[in-house]
Amino acid sequence: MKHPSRTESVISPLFANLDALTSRGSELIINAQLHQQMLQVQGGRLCPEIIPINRMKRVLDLGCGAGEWIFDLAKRYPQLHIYGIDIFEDALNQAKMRRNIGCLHQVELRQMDLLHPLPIPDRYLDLVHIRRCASFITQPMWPHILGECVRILKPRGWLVLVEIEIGDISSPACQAIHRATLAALAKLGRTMDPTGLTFGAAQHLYGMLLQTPLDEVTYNLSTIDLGFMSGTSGRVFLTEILRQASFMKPVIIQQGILNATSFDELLAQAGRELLAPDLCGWAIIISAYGRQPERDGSNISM
Amino acid sequence: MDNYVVGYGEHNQATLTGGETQSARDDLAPLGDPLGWPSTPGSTRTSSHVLEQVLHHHIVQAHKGLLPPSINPYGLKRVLDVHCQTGAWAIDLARTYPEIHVIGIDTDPALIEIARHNTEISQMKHVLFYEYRAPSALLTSGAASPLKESDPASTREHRQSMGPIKGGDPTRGEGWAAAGVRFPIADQSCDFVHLFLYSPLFQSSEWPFFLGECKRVLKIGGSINLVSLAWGPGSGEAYSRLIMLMEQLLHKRGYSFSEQSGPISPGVFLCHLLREAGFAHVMYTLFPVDFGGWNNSLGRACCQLLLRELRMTRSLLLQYQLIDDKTFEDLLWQQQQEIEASHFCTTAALISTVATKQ
Repeated sequence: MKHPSRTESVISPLFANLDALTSRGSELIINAQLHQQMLQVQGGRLCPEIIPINRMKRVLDLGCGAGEWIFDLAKRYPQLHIYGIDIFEDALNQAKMRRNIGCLHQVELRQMDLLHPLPIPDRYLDLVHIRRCASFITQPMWPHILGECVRILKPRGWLVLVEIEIGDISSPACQAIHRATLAALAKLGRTMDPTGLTFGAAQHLYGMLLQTPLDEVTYNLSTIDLGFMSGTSGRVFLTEILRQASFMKPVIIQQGILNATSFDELLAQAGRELLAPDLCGWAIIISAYGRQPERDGSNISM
Repeated sequence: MDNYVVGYGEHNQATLTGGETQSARDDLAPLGDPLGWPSTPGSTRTSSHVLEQVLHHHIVQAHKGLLPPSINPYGLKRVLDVHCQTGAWAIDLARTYPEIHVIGIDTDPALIEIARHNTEISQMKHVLFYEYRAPSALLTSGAASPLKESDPASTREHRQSMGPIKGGDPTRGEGWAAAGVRFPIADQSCDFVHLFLYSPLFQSSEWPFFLGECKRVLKIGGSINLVSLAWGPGSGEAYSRLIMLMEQLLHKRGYSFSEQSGPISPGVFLCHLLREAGFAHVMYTLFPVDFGGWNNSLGRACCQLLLRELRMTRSLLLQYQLIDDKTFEDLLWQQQQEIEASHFCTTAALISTVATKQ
């Protein structure tokens, strides 16, 4: 059993200055740690078990960020040619640097807006993977993006969508800040759950895939531990939530969800509550996936 | 101590209510709906009972077993299932491990009668069920009792005011911890205490007393396992709206653990509560629960159970002016449609908390 007091001493410097967390360096650390945690709860698998990556040739990761998923995949499957696309230059530069250091010539990275048609031929890829991109994709964009994915997938190729949704947190202030962020996003029409209870993308992945021509559509669930049993990683994840909330502070205030004083108070309170020895919380990962039919759906006349 | 149904030592079979058991199971027909649901078209006693069994099997599957892996079932002699409902878990445990003597307690006599009936069908002698409410003898006994009110009338009034969220029978389930009702079980007589909850069960202020009772009946070195179902994201909009309504209602009725309305499930707060109650080695494990997908009719049936629970809260929601009757009816109807839709994807987490008495 991990003793909570030991983890406290490790994590508390992180909370010494919440502003420091908005810096780029810590964002990369947090994303890397989150990737490791997601990998762990999914039994070390980078994709649902049913997908035979070892027999694949070309894989695309949309919204690859700093390439956490890509580099793990490249290490395990040297035969793969992997493409990574992201709109954010900072993260991509980081990924390019890592690719060059690791001499992973099999990885190709490109900066691109997902809204535009992808410069990839039809029926070219064995697997398209989109993970944790929902906050950058609005609801009307999804059909376009999924349509593009279906276009570029080979017959019998797989499309995998992975999103996280936060569940309950034993820190009331942290939960309140998370809810305030969601409420602000909901008012702007940026969430897929109009109530603001959840962000809403994860639970809609399955339904969205069912509307594409893909076959064998299904989904898997896993839980992420956000509490003391996870050691420091739960706290790191929750810190990421607070960091995103600080980023959203002007919007939260502008939308009239909270005023500046109460936001700051809640944030400080959340920082203290995350140090509780019996912190408990969970998030859920939904991986929805489907398979291109034998004959490309777009060629079949209805 | 004479009031305890289950005494010290090896008098495992001791019972005060043996005669009643006999008469109760002979005639089940006059019973109302065992889960206290109002009769709505299509809702029968049998289907409620079946739904509870379905939920039990779905949860045990998600939990990967009846007991947490840290518990050695062959080291257990006597196990207590608190809030046992119709005894699905208790009977399942007794069937799986015939050496264990299982006791189930619940505040609802109708549920206990069904549980006893089920035991009778499966011909098991090592699982016993007891109704557990506040007889005046119990209320006045024991100088060390933390009970403040010994007058049954005032207790009843108190219970109604603190009352259940369901707005129905105030003696059912919720509220009894507030009245300081002790378990009909002797001190240090159990090796293991189990509780499964999918609704908040107690107000936040009632938990310390309840956990104190669990601790009292546990032997030194005995363990407690609280398994809490926390509803997660769901694909339906009506589902989200109903969850939010429940949060507001529970907050107004004192079931919330924070100043704002918070999670419906007390799951994430159980570690803290157990530690506060003086338990040691508090640990939890998370399990995902799936209610949707194309190949999950059990999951969808479990969601019907939620829908029935929600239907119960109508009068309270109206009383607190959280919603009007028409909108609520529309939401329930919409939720029903969502459950039947092919793209239905609703999730939950099981928080299984284990702690030891030292």
